[in-house]
Order: sequence, then C-alpha cells, then structure tokens
Amino acid sequence: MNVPRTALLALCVASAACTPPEDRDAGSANALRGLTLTEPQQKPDFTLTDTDGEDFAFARETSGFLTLVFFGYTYCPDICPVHMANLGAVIGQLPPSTARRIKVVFVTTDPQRDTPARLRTWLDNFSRDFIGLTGEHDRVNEVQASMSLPPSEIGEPDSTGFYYVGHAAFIVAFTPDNLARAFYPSGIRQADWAHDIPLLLQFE
Amino acid sequence: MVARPNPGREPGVKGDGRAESYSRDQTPDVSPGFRRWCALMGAMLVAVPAACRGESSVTVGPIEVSNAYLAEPVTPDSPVAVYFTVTNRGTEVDTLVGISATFATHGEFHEQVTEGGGTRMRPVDAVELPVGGKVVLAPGGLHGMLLDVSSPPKHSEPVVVALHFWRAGTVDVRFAVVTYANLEEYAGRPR
Repeated sequence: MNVPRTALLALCVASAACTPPEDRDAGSANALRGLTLTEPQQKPDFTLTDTDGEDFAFARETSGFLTLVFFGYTYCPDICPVHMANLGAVIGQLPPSTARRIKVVFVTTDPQRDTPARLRTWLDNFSRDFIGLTGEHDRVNEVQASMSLPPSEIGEPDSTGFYYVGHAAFIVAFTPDNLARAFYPSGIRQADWAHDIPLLLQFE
Repeated sequence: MVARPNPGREPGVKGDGRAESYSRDQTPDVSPGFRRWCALMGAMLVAVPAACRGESSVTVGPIEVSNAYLAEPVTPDSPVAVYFTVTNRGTEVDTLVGISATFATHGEFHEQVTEGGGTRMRPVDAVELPVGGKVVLAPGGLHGMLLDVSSPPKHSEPVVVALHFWRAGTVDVRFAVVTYANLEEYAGRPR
C-alpha cells in the first residue's frame, strides 16, 4: 500500500466508503494494494460509443471480466498515459489465458478532440485490446458519477486553442463478480498491479 | 517548494538555440548507430549505458539540475511532460522562470492538483528555489511541459532542453527520453 495519504483522503471524499491501510488485514480484498472499498459497488449499466463507432453496452460487454475503467483524454501528458502504459506493460507480461480475463476500458473526458479514430491510435500504443469509449461530455459525467467519481471539467483554451481537461485520477477495478472493489490512484506502480491483478481475478 | 499559480500567465520563454553550456560531466554526442545499439540494449532491459541517458547532473552557478528525463509523447501532437530535480546550493533564493526547446514552440510549468478525487493541471508561473532546497519535478506532481512540438522526442535519443533561472541564467540540459511504461523507474531513482 504505497499511495500517498492525500490521495487516500481525496478518494474517501469521492467514494462511499474506504478502508485506511492501517486498518487492513492480510488476506482477501484487504491484501490489495489498491484502495479497497469497504462496501463493493454494483457495476453500472450504460452504453457509449466504442472506437469502431458502435454502441458498447458496458455491463453486458464486461460481465464476468476483471474490468479496469479509467476516465481521461489523449492530450493528457502526465497521469493518463502513465496509467495506461503501466497496465499495458503488466497485462502484456501475463499468460494469454489470464490476460483474456481482463478488460481495460478508457473513457474519454474530451469527446470534442478524442474522435474514435484518435482514441484507437492512442490506445494502440499501450495495447490493441484496450477498449476506448466516447460519448457526450454530460453523458460521460453521468457515468463517472455512477462510479462515485467527480465530473470532468474542460479547461480554458490557451492562445493556440489548446486546453487541458480535469478528470478523476483513479482507475476503478470491477472484479469478475461485477462489483467495484478497489480504486487505483495516480502513483500506483506496475509492481502493485502485478501483485493485485491475480487477487482481483479471484472474485468470481 | 513554493510555486505560485497564475492562471492568466503569459506563455513561457521561446527556444532560441542559444550556445550550449554543459558542465564537464556532460555525455558525449553519439552516432545514430550507437543510438540504435542503445535502444536495443534498453529493450533487452540491460542496464542502459550512461550515454543513452540524460546527464547525471549539470550546474549553472549554484544551481544543480539532476535526474533529467522526459516522456516520449504517445502521439506526435501531444504535449511533452518534462521532469527533473533542481538543487539550490547558493546563498540566495533563485527562481525557475522558464523552459524551452528548439523542438517546441513554448514551455510551461504545471502542478497536478488533486481535489475531491479529481485531478487537473494548474499552470505555475515560476518555481521558487529556496537556499539549500531541492525541488523535484515528477510524474503526478509539479512538472514542465513543452507544447506545439515540431519533432517529437524518441525514447533512447536524448534531447536538449533549456531551463531558465532568474539569477543563475540559462542552462541547456541533456534529457533522457523515456517511454511512459518506463517512467516509474526514473521517477523512483535516487536523486
């Protein structure tokens, strides 16, 4: 459990409940290095558009899979590519039979610039198996709220029209039993994922 | 670390190809063949030779810059995130006021601010460097940013980025170019 205390406190604001690391036991979900939810949350049901331009019914398409969801944008220079690159590196090292049980879903908080084609190109740098979703900004914010995440905010454009987007810093982990059990903040390392993924897969 | 946010700030200092001012521990220029060899060795996860990295440290006056690395952008039009450590060994406070490179139109400093579970970038006008203090620019926190990139840096091919200090002046620093998947290794390196 290597996450900064400030990130944990921020998460406690965002989520219904969470367990401080010092209160954890070894074993079961408490052994996770991610931030464990004391009350697992139901996987929400929503439909957004995937990188082929097709409807993607999230609950149906990801049912039974370890589903790792992140909200970000492709022009994001710091947190988003670090999260995606770390997942790509760790999942790429897993045996294919294990990797097939995981779905990584990246939902853009910048639908204006992140076209399905741009999302696909960007995600392919990390893994061709990663799923990219887009939709109306307000709709995406509703989906974030359904996962206890704060809404994203489009920043003011600079003189060249470039802008940043504020977004949640956490990856939400839904275990194969379709419950959100842990959040992974910025700063989580590849070793933490390698440690937690086999544990997350045990919740069937 | 004291960083003063200024949302209405002007763009950073433009790159102007000034004379280089490496310290004596600079790494030598390398041939394309040697760079390919470096890339190969890196891919094999063998210890990357020193010449493939940025400089171990560079000084300008009493200011020391170390652990200089930047992220290879995922797409060519993405901003480039820049990370390094600055130590002020002088007797006066100095200020980091700008960042520039010949391959980018302008540079900025940003803080990653996390509030209520959300995170956003907050522009930072200048970074104060207290006497005897060390300021670390690292992923997920304070970092430099190069925008409007004309030729995106490629991993294992170091690039020169200029850092501008209020008192100490400008220093050109050779930065290691690191893939996002390898950033955490550099971020966790002792400084």
